[in-house]
Amino acid sequence: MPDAAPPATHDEFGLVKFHIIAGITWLFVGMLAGTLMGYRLSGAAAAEFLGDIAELSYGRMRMLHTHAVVFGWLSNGFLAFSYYAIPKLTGRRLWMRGLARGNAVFFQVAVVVGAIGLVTGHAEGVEYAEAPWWADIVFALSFVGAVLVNVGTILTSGVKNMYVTLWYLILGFVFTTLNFVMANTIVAHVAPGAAGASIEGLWIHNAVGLWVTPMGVAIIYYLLPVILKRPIASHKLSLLGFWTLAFFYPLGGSHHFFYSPTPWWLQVLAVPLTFTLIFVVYSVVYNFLATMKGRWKEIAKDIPLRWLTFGLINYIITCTQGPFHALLSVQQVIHFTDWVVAHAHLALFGVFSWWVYAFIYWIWPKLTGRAYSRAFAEWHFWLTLVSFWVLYYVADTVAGLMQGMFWLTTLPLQDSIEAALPFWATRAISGVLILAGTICFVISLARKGKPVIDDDTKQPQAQPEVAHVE
Amino acid sequence: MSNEKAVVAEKPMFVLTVAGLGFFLLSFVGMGLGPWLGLELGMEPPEQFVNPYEDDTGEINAVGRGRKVYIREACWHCHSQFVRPVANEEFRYGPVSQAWEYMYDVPNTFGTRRIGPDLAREAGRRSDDWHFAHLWNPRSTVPASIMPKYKWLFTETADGIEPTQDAQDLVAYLQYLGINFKQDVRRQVWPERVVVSGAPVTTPEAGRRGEELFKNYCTGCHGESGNGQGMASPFLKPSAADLTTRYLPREEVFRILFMGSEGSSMPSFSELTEKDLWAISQHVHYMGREVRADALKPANNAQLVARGREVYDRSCKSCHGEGGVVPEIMEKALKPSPKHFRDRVYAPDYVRKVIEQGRPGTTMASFAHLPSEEKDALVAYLASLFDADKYKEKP
Repeated sequence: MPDAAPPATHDEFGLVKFHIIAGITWLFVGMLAGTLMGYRLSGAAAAEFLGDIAELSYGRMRMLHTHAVVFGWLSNGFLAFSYYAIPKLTGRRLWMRGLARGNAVFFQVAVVVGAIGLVTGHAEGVEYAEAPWWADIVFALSFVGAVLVNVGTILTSGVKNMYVTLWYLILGFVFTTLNFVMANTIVAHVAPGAAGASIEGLWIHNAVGLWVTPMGVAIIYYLLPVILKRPIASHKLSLLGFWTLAFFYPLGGSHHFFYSPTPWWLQVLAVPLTFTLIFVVYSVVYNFLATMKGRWKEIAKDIPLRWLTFGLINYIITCTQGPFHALLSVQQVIHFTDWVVAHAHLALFGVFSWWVYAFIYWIWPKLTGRAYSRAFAEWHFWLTLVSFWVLYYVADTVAGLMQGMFWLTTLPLQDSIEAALPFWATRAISGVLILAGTICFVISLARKGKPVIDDDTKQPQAQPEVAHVE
Repeated sequence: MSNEKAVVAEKPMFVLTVAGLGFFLLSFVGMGLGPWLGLELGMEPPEQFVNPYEDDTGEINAVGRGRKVYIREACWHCHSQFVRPVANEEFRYGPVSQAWEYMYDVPNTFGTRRIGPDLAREAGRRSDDWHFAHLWNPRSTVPASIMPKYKWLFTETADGIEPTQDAQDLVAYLQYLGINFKQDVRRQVWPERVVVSGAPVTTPEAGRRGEELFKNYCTGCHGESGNGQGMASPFLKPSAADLTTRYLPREEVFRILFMGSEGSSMPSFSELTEKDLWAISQHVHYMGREVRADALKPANNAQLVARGREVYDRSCKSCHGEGGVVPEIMEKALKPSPKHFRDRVYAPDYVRKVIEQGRPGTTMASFAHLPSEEKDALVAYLASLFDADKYKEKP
């Protein structure tokens, strides 16, 4: 039943805080798995590290890594955001609050069940959806629960003209429910071979494009105007960006299997359909840049704004790369290489994880009534920025380009691996440094800082009553 | 802004149904069902191509079970499984992949990253033993490999290391991958013959390069010193050649490196450059160079050689051929092929050992029953077959 009572700001603070803490826990799981993998790729001796333990083997860590960051970290972060933003934007309390609370815990159970399935050797062969079918069912139930609460609140709120953030949230939730079910039924168990690959392309493409992207964009559409205290520059551009993304993005999935035995017409069609996205994302990016106009120097003192901005810079890079990747001549060289790995990390870590960081830094003082530690937040930022950009992104991009160029020659494959080793070594180091940065992140949040001064009353903000989740 | 339209495009139900449901369905139908239907209609598999993952009764077979292990261990996250028609891949892996090959793969295992080599054309490329050794510890066959070990696919007992059912299934699957193109791959990887004309001048640089390459590519099986006792040796049958027991001219090493030895675990290294192959040849040549003088001594005893020839013609000729030149039919029928004796000479002790014990894993049987005198005669005769004039050695 729609709750007619107007929401109090701190209504869902417990829920939001729970999802944030759970998300950061998963972030550590994902990062540890990633760093372990990165280290093992740094040489023949390193490849043996903990190599006798099946549960920690490279392949299983590979699956745990993406499982933990996509379903654990990012999804928890997005849910924390949506549970905060939706009541704010609709002026209504959450629909079925009890379900939201119970589901917060159930959601973690679902991700744990999937992780157990992966490391104990029950994986299925669909990228990003490797968790076994019994874990898929648990996750789907939990995800549908979250969708019911979030989308249900918007639909029952009676809001007529929604703010941009809500468009993206509806799109992300509804599309991803269908996409997830498609991946774990049709792709995993029905569609054979090249037909399966075409549909798998849709899934892996849209897991990023219609789950992570809309949720992330929803965050920046919400935070940027709030932090800058000025509206988004152009509403028309927001509309254009949203509808073209929703229309074009899903159609480009087959570009993940260029030059494969999938039908050639499908691959050819994927080129323009993917390339169109450059106009889509630039319209969105321009909107943010125009909103930022004249306020750039504020990123020096405002940590959330800084994460948003640097995430936006990465967004521009990654979204410029993407359409060019869909050119067949580029595909010949970069496909199968580390270039793509660097690109994927730029999007999922450099953009969307950073936007979730922005949200967490922004909401945390409200949740706890106390500021985070500025010093540790700076350490978090600089460690992450430098080690990710220099030691990870640039190194992996160069390694990928070298691999692609090597493979065009007739030199043995082994030579391309040896050439990549120094770059893989810096990548492993970046993993350690980013982990160190993330520990600073946690310390920054956990330190009891100064009480936050309420903007309106100029009084210390009252300690909110944090409702406990189970 | 036309207000009317904007309001429609911003209504919750409109966003939900058009963007959320509608565009999903559009992409699924257009980019998912469309190609699926197109493939069903357009694919033309060879008539004899039936589901490789099931036996006649519909039960899952070793190949099918191996595929499950392959997926479970996420092999496909580092090994792609399709050969593209671009980027030199036909040269590197074999014929370009076709849609029908994958028609029984649910889900597909194309993969999106290639850290190790593509596996779509793996069938017939290497021996089962090679794969077992490689899975147990990849460094045992490819010393510079960064692939993880899969020790849990093996049981270690007092008798040695045994592959589990999972490992056997996995290798069955690997040997299935691209089986329809096995002959094409074999022609590419195991050339029938390669004519090697004169080796280049030996240089210290080539020696150093050869040593480095030997370390990176050969020590896993042949051992650091070349004695055949590398890390992979418990798995290999026939065992890796003990390179310290034979004099091999560089041309002969080159030929073996290029062609591999089908039927044994010696793969072809034809992907290495010619220069590098000569460098390895030089290094391997030097490993057994000392053997030459001793090995050729018995050939000076004409009487013994003549006696040896009688024994040879009676017991060895049917496989090794007249005068140590293996007939083509034997070379094709027996894998690994019987050794020919014109281009190599073995240390006497080694010849005696092989006569005594045979060569397990090949068709070379034990001839322990021969009288000792005949064995000595054989040693002398084999040494006399070596073409010492062709392969001169500076003193």
